[in-house]
Amino acid sequence: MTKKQSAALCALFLLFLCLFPLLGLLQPDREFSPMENRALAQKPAFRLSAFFSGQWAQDCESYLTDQFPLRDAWVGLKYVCERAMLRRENNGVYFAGDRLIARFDPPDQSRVESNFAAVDRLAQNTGLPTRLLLAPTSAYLYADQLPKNAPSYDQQQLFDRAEALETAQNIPVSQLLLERREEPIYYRTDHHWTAQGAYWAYASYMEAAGRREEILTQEDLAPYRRQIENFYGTLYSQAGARFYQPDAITYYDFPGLAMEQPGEEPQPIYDLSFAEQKDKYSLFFGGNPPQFCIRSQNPQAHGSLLVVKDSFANSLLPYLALSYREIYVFDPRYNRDSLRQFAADCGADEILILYQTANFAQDANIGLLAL
Amino acid sequence: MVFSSVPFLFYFLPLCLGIYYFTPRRWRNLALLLAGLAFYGWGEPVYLAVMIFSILVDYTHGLLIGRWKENRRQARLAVASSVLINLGLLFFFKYYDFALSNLAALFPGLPLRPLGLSLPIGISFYTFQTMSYTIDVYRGDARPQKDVAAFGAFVTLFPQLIAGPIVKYKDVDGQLTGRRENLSQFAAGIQTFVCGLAKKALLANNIGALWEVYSQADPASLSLLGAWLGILAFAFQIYFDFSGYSDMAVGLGRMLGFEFKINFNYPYLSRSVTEFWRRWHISLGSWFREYVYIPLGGNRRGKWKTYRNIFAVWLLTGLWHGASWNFLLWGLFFALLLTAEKALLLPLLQKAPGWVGRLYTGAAVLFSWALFANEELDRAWGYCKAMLGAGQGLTDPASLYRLVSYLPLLLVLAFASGPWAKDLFYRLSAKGQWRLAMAGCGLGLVLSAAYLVDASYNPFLYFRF
Repeated sequence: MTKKQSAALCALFLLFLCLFPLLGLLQPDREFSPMENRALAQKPAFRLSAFFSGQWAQDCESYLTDQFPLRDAWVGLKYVCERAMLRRENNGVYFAGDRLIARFDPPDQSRVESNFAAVDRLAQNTGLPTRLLLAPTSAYLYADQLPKNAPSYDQQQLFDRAEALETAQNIPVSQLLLERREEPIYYRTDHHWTAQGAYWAYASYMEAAGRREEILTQEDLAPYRRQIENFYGTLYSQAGARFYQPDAITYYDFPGLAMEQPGEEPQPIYDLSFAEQKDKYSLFFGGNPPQFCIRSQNPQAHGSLLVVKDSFANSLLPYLALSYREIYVFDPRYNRDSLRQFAADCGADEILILYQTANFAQDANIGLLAL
Repeated sequence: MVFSSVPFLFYFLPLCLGIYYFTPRRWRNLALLLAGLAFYGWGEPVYLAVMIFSILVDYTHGLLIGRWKENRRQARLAVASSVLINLGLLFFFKYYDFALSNLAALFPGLPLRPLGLSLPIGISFYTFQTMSYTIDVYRGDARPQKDVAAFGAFVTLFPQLIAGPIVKYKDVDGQLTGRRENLSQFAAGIQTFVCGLAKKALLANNIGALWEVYSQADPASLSLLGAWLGILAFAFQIYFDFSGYSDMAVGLGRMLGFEFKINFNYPYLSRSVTEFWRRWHISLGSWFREYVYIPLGGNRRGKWKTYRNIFAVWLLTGLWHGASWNFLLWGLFFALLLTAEKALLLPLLQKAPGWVGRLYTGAAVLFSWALFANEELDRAWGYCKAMLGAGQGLTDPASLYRLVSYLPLLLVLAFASGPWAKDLFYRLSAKGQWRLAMAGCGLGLVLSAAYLVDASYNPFLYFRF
């Protein structure tokens, strides 16, 4: 290498190393990455104790990495490389055609068993009609689209176990959804079901609850249908994916529904400020409040229901809200109060436990329902 | 601090190079010493004390040995004291708890409590380096270093501080005070550094994620394919991680005007285990040869002494890698193979076609990694059994999936394990080489940055060495 050539290589190297820290000085820090759907690390405050434990150095590293200039472009570049190397998954998300599917790892069997037992215990403890509705993940419905031989837990085992509940009643929806899998019942970039997927589960529930006549038809719903475009869901973020078609979120703007949280004024059930953000699914009830109540002014509504749920319930609750005077919603993931007490206080007539299979099988908080 | 991280690459390195080159030459060792201390203190400020203690102890011992050159008895006492202190530090931080837990298992009545101290990063490397200094001075292979900044710079030289190569003092003695940095050396350093960075960030981390899956599975549940795929992934991970680190060290050394010896020489192409250990972690092997094997008599005192010396060196090599029985077993495994080769196999392997030796060496090394990578003995044993087919079936769907999914990466890794890319590079014209170096360094930096910025898996493998 001649002297000139060496100098060029040195210049390239040093420019590359210096360019990004300088860019970093110029740009303001971001608090949140819409692309990755997570909070980014912020500048750590210097404390001597943290310095000596090495924690401060670690925090600095996370901070500098998270606030690295053009972060989204780097993440996208890595994704392109991974696809070019023919990888079929990233970060626990499979690339399955035009769809992203979360990998379902075998759950801890004792946890599964204790969660099912907790459902029965809740039914026994409260003496109320208690129903369990388990939503499959898209790995169940679109198993044929997974990469060949891709490891995926067989959720049928959970549905079979649900059939064997003693006191609580199981509401099977997996077969029905499987039959309707050509419809847009699940998002392609998000792990949730769509309002349409939730609709079929809603119909199954109403039938099981003896409310068949009240089931809303698609014609009933049509006037209230609203749509929000350009939704990139959590799987898209988790996989660091790029170049997928966005989904659209459908929701139903029913009149006469209000959501009440302890100590707050009644609000509409949809928080449309989320429609402008990345996390659009949070427009249902503004995310996952620990507990709230939906009150319906629909004159035909009757009875009250307690729903213990994860986020899968969010797109199903609006349908139910038209039929029940009150729906009390309890999310054990964010609420450590006694559910038994909550059930007694709200005086609900029935209980619905609604979870996605993966959450139900893995969530330690469900065991608390037995208390 | 770790080389393959945003703070090092984009903050520490440019800052350090800037300060280093703006410092007048006679202060540069001091600049290096301070940079080394900052580098080391970044993650573990507390253990700076150990490092400074180590510098002062060996600096004074070096001077004492130099002064008593004529008086062998006193000089011997001084070198023994230095070795004892270094080994004492190493023992206290690395082996104390291990020794204690074994004692406690032998004598359940004793009131022994493990200290639970975390290992000062790189202590196995820098204690070996400082020992080499006092021994070299004692043997007359190096002059005692009077300049404490130069000596401190040798001990804390950040390129090889935490993961080697283990630089022997006499190899850099002249460079410490007489080095002349220059542009072409800097440019060569960049190429070596970027190669190493890409090895670590692009290859080792990615294949490491595959080993991660198998390292957590119950060995008895592994299929034959799964067991071999897993250990192959580990073999690639440790090679590209470690040799990538060494390359980065050599490259950084060149940027600062030092020439270190290479640490890896395409070990996976070896045709015997003997050859493998001449090509794998060369600086450690040569340290043990020079300071243990040869002083014990090497291979000049008859067959049985030679075998004894091989066993001594390899048990120590095993133990050096970690305070745990599996590492001792790993050393023993190599001692057995090396003895067998010396006694019997080597002439046969030399006559046999090349692929026979490579196959044998490959299998031996993969089994050794099964011992190395599984720290609990039960697991290590179970894993070896699974590699012999005692697990569940020939293949399993998940392993087939992973094989297909990782196949392109595995092919790249296999190609990168040999000298082929380098050979092709040197066949180009001078101009072609320069163009490729520019493009390669640019691409290597950009892609490595992408994988470091979005690092879902970036382990540091040497925390226990």
